Amino acid sequence: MILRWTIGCIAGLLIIAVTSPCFVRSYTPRVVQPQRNALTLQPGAEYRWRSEGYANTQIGPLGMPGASPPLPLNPSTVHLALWGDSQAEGVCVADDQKIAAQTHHLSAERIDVLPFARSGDDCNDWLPQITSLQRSSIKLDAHVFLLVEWSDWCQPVRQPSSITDQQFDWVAEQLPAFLIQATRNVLTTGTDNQFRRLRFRPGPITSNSSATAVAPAAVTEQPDQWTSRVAMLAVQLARLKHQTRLPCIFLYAPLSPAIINGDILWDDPDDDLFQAMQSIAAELGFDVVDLRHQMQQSVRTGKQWPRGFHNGQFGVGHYNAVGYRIISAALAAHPRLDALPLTSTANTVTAER
Amino acid sequence: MQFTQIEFLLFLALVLTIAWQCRQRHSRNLVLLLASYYFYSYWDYRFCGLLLFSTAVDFVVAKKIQTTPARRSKRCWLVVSLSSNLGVLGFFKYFNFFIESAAPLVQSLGWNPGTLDIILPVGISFYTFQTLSYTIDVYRGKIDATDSLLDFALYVAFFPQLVAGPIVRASELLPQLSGNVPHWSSRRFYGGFQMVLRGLVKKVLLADRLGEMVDVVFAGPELYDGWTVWLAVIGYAGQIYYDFSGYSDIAIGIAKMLGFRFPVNFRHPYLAGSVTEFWRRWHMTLSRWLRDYLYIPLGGSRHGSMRTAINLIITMLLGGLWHGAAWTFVLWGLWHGVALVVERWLRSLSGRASPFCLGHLSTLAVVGVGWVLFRCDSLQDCWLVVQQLVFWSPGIGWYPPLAIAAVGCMVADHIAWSTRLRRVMRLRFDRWYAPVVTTIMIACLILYAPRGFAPFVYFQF
Repeated sequence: MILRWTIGCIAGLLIIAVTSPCFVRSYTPRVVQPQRNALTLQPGAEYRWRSEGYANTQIGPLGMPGASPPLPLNPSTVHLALWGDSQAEGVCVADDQKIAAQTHHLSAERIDVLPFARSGDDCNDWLPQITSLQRSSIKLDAHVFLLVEWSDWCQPVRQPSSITDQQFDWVAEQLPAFLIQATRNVLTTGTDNQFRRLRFRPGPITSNSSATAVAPAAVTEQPDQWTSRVAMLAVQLARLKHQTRLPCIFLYAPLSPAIINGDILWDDPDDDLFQAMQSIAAELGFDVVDLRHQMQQSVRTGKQWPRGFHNGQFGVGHYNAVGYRIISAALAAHPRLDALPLTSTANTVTAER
Repeated sequence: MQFTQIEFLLFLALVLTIAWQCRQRHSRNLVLLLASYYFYSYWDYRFCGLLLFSTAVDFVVAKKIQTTPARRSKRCWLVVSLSSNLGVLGFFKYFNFFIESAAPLVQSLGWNPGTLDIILPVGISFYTFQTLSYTIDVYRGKIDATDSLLDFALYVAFFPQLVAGPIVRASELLPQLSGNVPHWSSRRFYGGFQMVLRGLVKKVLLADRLGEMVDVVFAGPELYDGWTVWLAVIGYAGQIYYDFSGYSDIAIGIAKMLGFRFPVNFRHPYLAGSVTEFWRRWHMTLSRWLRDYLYIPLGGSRHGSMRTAINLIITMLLGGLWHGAAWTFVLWGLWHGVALVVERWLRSLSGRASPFCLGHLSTLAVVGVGWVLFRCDSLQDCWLVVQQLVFWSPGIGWYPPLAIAAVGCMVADHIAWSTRLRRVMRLRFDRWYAPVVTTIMIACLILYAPRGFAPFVYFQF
């Protein structure tokens, strides 16, 4: 009987192991990418996302996710560097639906987008990478920033957050993804990925748990908080201006419209911050494209939600193929890019610190 | 403490270990009682007093009823029990509901009644019904009042069934508690473990997955197209069934692992061919409680068809109100009451039950509409859902694959249960597939559980 149960348990685990790639995301070790001077996923690896969206991503050269343009780049096309967080990274959608591929297609193959966006990054991570890239042989014509969450820019200046975690990389390389995921599920909480803390103390619980947390939209910002955010934004944009002479294009696509508690929220709660950013960007010579109207029109007329997935929830979460099409169309049609490529001059640009 | 928390699994392992080490009935029951009070205090220790109060009142009252020879005095003691139990339940559960419902009338008289900030004690509806059934059974002479306060306190607070049933009668559990310590049986322990595992799978992998979709659609049904709203309503039928039957399975399984036997609470209710049969398969311990302590005392079906209809409707109305202090629950009870009456009337006309398919489909339709009433927060929300179900207004077409798969599992589960596969589903220890399926279930619970915490639906009742 013991033998039967042992064999049976092994067989059950094997079935889970074999079927897990259909349902469990992959864990890929990260490597230091010398030209970007940043930690990226291993070039050539395939990255599976199995949560909100459900897609496989091919990791290209320089750790770029998706169908990146081949290196060396075609000198007759416009070369854009795309920066952003997970909203721009696009592991939730297939490679041919990511911003890079859609922009290339919508611009009649005139524009090549190099996707440098990475989940969890903010401006403190992008700016040093921009400097590194300018010292490399990569010829860029402009930088594009997908601005979805203000926390990516309203940050105090600090060192980049990329720190090599050799233990994690070893685990990701050696152990199957389902085992890592199972361990992670047991050890961490689902809501904020913090280490699970067990409570055996009798209730009631008086801590500010997630159940009592206020929805972000309902939080009223204090005037001094707003001023401090604008100040941080101004500092970071000035750093960017100092870092590069290439044209910079900001695509503003905030998390609206959104579905919160059964209601569609059309208004952007950070509109005043956007106005402030626009005026700072105008002073610094940056282009800002407001995509809010296009996103709203997509919902109002086409009933197509730019964010959300069937196996997640529409109106929340990451941008989907529809959202990326809107972003890509705006990028492909941007007038500043008509005058490009200027690779001969762009090549000579160096960072000034 | 919820059955799906890691803390509970550790607590259970400890309780099982200690309980099976106790060879004396008294010490074993004491361990289980302390564990049960700890289990309850994990939510809020202040309400242990309420549990103690209910226990003490019914223990004393039952003794008085037993020892008092005069019928009139017995009745007086019964009234004491009923009024104290229902008084506590009424205050904590229904005070604000009645105040709010009466507010328009009272305000028109120039008085503005306020509401109180009352916390509903977890499980109060369940343990109140258990203690009531004990006192009433003693009053009726069906059982003897117990002499052991420890046994009775454990009967009321026994942690597997304390907060969401099944509603176990004193005649079922007290003899087990006051008898000899059950003998260890690895076969029974394994059976209990399988029930717990099955309950966890039902709750975590099916109910919670369905709940992720259902909660969003019911929050704004007007945003979604007809297909999506239909999927959400079917999904809710699955969610509430797997949530509650999952809880019951875990409770029954834990009791079995401890050597006790609990009554079955669900028998695949969506296979029912009539609404009457549905109530014989859904929350069976509540149905028979309502039948024995409400419907039959009201007269049952003994006084003609009109009186039977009224009795049925009163019973179901109060059954609805038991679920929650809201008009939607009252309407849900009324809906089922009317359906039972109409079904009886149709049966009396034709003289036989309707053909299986017709009866089955009509039962599903009645139950489905009932779930809309049950799930919505207000009548306005119900109307919005019904509008989308009927008129198919355009909206977001959202078809989550996992929710659809969970609905598919529900259909497959019901079909399998009605065939010979029912035996296979028991996963007997000596079958070759038992370890394979058991491992897969445990692995799926760890790997594929939704990452947020979702309490059991019936905790709110």
